[in-house]
Amino acid sequence: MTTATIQARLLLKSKKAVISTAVLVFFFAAGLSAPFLPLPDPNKQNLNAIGLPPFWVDGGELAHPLGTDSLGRDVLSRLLHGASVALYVAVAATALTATIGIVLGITAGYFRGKVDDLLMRVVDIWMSFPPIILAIVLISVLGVDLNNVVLAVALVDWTRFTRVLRSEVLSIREKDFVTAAQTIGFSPNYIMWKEIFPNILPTFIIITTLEMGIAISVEVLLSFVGLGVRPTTSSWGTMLADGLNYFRTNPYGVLFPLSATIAVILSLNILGEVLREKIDPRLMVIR
Amino acid sequence: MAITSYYLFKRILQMAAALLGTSLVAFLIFRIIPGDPVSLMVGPGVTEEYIAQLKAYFKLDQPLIIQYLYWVADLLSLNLGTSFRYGSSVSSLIFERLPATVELVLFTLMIAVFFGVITGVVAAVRQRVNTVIQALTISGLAIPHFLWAIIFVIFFAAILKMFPASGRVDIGVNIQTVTGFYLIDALITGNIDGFFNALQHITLPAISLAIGMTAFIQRTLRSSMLEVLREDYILTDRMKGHSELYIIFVRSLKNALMPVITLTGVQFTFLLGGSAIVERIFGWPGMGNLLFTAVQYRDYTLVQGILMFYTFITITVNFLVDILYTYINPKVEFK
Repeated sequence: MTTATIQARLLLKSKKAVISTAVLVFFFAAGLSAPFLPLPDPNKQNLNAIGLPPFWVDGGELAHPLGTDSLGRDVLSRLLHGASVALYVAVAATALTATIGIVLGITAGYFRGKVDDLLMRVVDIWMSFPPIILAIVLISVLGVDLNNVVLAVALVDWTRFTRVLRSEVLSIREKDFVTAAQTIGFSPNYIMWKEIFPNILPTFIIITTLEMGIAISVEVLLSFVGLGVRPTTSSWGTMLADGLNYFRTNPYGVLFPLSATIAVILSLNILGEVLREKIDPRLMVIR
Repeated sequence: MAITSYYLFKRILQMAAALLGTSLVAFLIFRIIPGDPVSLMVGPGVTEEYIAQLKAYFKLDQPLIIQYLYWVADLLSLNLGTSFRYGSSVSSLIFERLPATVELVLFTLMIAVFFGVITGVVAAVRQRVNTVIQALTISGLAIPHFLWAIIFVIFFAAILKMFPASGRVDIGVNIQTVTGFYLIDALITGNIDGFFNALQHITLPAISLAIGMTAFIQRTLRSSMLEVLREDYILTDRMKGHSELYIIFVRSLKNALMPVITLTGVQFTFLLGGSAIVERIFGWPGMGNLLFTAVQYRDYTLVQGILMFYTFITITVNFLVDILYTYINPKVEFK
């Protein structure tokens, strides 16, 4: 392989990173600004304007740029408010999952012994539950609410975080700089957070990126089947369900939430992928 | 190499421990229900006495540990209780829908293994990664099952009308039940029309489930095969003058498949979870659809039973994968 092609490959990879980052920045901006933009109320029904197509299609109106749904609610407004919901779940669920994962992963990996053994048995048992089934069951117990979606994601996914971070810590704690820190007499707390944590940060960033994608897809999935948000909250999942039901009368209704969900999930995954290739030295092969 | 009975015994014990652990978790989940589960289940307009009766029936008036022991004893005797919504036993409800789910999942696995192995081998042999294959792999791994299902319903069922959008067979098509798997039953009874009808119905749900697993197998196999092809014994084979096809499909594939098999257990867990939602989208009358009905009607006995059953399947599959792995891989040590 010539240097030119290698450079071309790397450029291609960073192009992937650039595009996915752009999509995510747009998504974050939309999610953060939706409540402040001069949009119509996402729940305001207008039974005189049901199932309107986007404005560039015959029958569309400029007042509803992306059309309306089966109850005459503005699709653009619902899409942007749905971005807020997805963003909230992505950030809150990932933060909660990551916190559990970091604390358990680092302490179990650093101290090992009986606590670690017990924790890993619990993780094994937990991972025997099919994740989506467990999430659905948890929602059935906790009740339909956005914060319960956040809780369900964390209760299902803490195992993945814990396991990955623990195995990282297990290999890092054998390194000389950790032994040196122990010899100097630093406290375990200091070593765990100031010496080991910075070294698992790359892995942590990668799995956090991927976790945000998982959290969003779980939120959309649960809302799609009516177990995510309350009916008054607009989510991409409820939009998908509505759009699919009325696909024959207005095919655009399903198109926008579907593309939005796929664009965001795909971008998070591609970004995670690029980060992994760039950061993980074990995968530093030019392919 | 034969599997030692000691290894088998140890693995069975581990499986029993996993079942016990999951049963405890499944038990505790239903004890954190805020408020009183029985009144939530039956709804308003029921006498206090009836609720007290039900509580006694579900042993809710007993201490937690006793309740748990009852639950384990019930599990062991496959008595998962009575469903509120349907008024019949939970296990019979599950067994009624089990064949539909198992048929869908097995068919999915067949598709995923077939296409995953072929594309994985091609990608490894060709060395350089095709941009199209790479894009497909990333979307396959990233986009969840239910979004694929929605895409396929829209595109192939609603727009192109190539495939039906729901059910296992069309109304009016009768397939005599032998095994409960419609595809097999139709073939056994010589019902060719029924077979193709069932095949048409299973195609879209199975493909939407299979895409993720195909991409996963493709990627894992590709990287492990690239490693195997660099091994000395492959070089020896080449020098001996074996044909390239023989070297790839007989000599190296067997070893390259090892990492794929080890990771299949985890992937299967995801697949099974995804099947529930795909069943719901395609109106597939399996366990997943039953779960959604149970959740909707707050039928907690049924929800708990279904959760345990799904978990039982994943634990059993993981056990079988481990046994298969040790059976075909001579490098595994038995401890």
